[in-house]
Amino acid sequence: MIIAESNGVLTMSNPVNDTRTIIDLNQSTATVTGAPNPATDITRTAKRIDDRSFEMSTTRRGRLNTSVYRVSADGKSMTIRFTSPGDDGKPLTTTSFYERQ
Amino acid sequence: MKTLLTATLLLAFVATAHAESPFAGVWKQNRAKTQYDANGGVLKIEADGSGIRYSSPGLPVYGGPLDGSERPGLGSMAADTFKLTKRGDRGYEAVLSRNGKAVNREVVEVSPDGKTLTTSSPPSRLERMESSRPPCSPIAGRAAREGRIRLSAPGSRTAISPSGERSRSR
Repeated sequence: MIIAESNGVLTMSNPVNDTRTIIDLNQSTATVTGAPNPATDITRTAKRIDDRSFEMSTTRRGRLNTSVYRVSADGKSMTIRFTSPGDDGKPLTTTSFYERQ
Repeated sequence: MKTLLTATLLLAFVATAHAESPFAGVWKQNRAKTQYDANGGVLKIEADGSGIRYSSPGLPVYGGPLDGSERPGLGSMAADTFKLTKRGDRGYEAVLSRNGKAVNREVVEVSPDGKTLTTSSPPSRLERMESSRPPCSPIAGRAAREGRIRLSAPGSRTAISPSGERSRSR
């Protein structure tokens, strides 16, 4: 995953699925481009939490998924905490660990 | 002296830019350190009338007979359609379509002893990029995706038996 930032606008390129996510932390918006046939009923929002973390949320038909991106204090690693609702109402959480290349 | 000053300023600029954007960079996932939810890997497939109902953790996905007809998905997937087709006695194929176009295909198969389930999808773009092998037959590609064989150098392949033994042929 490659992330670039310019004036509060993050561009995340994902070589796995060939998509690009534009996250405007000033406008609290997020859009995905490059998907060959994207779902049109998904809404995305984003917000900055602090200097080293932000949150992106997607909602589709009432189902809310949240991803919190947090860079470590030394800048060498990043975690993405993905939370989605479970059948029983308890959230399911996956925390992906990334290292700076 | 001027060159030194320019280099110093350039380094200061790069350092400042990095400090302003801790997110910017190239990041690689370390799967060993990734933590999955204990309930995250639970798939549920239930008999439902003359067909099945498939749910991933917390999310009903699709359901219906394995007759090859196209039906809307379930829950938050209701805007998409799924075509479920029976494959042999222990498997089926699910094709997800969106806006009238197929966007994903998954083969679900239960092992002969009924103890394990394998789901396989076409390789991602990254997997295709990492492979230097010219296009292979769909059957070989499917077998590789399902882990039954491993594609290696062009013209050769390595078969992996259930016990993990490998044999190479050309």
